[in-house]
Amino acid sequence: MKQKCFVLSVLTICISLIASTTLSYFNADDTARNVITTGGVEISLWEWADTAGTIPFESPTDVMPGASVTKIVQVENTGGNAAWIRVSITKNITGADEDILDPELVELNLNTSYWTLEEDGYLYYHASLEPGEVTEPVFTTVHFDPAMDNAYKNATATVEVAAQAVQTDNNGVCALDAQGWPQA
Amino acid sequence: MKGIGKRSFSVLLVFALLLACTQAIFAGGTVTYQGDAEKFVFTPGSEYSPTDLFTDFKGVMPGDSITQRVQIKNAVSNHVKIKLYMRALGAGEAGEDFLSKLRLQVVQEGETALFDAPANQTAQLDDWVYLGTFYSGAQVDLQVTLDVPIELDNAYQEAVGYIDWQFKAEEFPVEPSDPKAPQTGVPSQMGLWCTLAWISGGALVVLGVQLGKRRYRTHTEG
Repeated sequence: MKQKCFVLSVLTICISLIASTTLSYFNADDTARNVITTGGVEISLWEWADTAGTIPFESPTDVMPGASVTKIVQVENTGGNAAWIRVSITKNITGADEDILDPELVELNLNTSYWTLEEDGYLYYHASLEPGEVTEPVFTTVHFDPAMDNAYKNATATVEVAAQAVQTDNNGVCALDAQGWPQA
Repeated sequence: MKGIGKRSFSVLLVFALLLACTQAIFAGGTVTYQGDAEKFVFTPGSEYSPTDLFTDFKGVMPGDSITQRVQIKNAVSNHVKIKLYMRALGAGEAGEDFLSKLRLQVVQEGETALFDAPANQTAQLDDWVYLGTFYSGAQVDLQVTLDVPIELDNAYQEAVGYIDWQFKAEEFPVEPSDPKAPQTGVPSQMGLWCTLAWISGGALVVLGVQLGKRRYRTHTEG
């Protein structure tokens, strides 16, 4: 009888062990935190007083009619993605008595080899500007027409350049094709 | 001696090239079930998250449609089979609005889409989805496609969004009745590695023998 009990016990233990081996299992779970980021487009506008691009442009004073001032305007892609570039130029001359004078007497030598003036008033850069690249100058000289008479004495002339950029990726084959320019 | 040096260099170069090709195949995120204390290992991670599987979804731009893969492997060596499940836990609060603009699709190799919805949602992965039973060394690929709408505006420049995926493994011992070495998904690359190791090992042995013979000859002649 004792022997039968022993055999039964052993059998029960064995069956339990087999059952537990078959039925029980380990499980584990863990979480992956996945990340999506977008890129961006960033540019800087540079105005230099020398061709080497080492002296920042500062507004000159006491400029006489017929004089030319060096002002080299360029755009740099400071972001991580290629961009199409366009600039707008606004000229103003205000007389000593606050009169608005003819801005056409301030002339710019626009670099039309690399920039195209379109009907919307923007100058479009011919190439896609890659990260870290700098455009060819928009213009290099501001010329004051000798036709400026006494009305222009002590006048203030301003040439304001504003640059805009839009992504090149998935956005046309040239700057003129591109969509999504910032609204003025 | 010069010749042997050149030959050694050539063999090493070929081996390095083969290795580089193999690494290219392995690109993408990897989920490895180790079975030990580490359980799941997620690679490669990123500067944003150590468990990041989205290797190709950084710096995306409006209009992009990018597909990458996530490979899931059972690396347990002691003949354990695992039942593997996954689910999405949704987006982190900070980037939820941004992720709601993007569309994500996850397709298990040879299967229908596991997930196809805006990236911030849990959608079809709201509850555990069974990916299959994986025997030791088996692996499967998930193809993950991200679509970024062209209309995404400046408000989303340099945006960051987090998506949590949870994986669960249930371990079972391999039974004698189980099919022998069945594979779920793509066959393991182990064979390729072994072949490469044998080729390079063999080449080194041959070179060693040649070098020894030459030295012996030089010694006996001298």
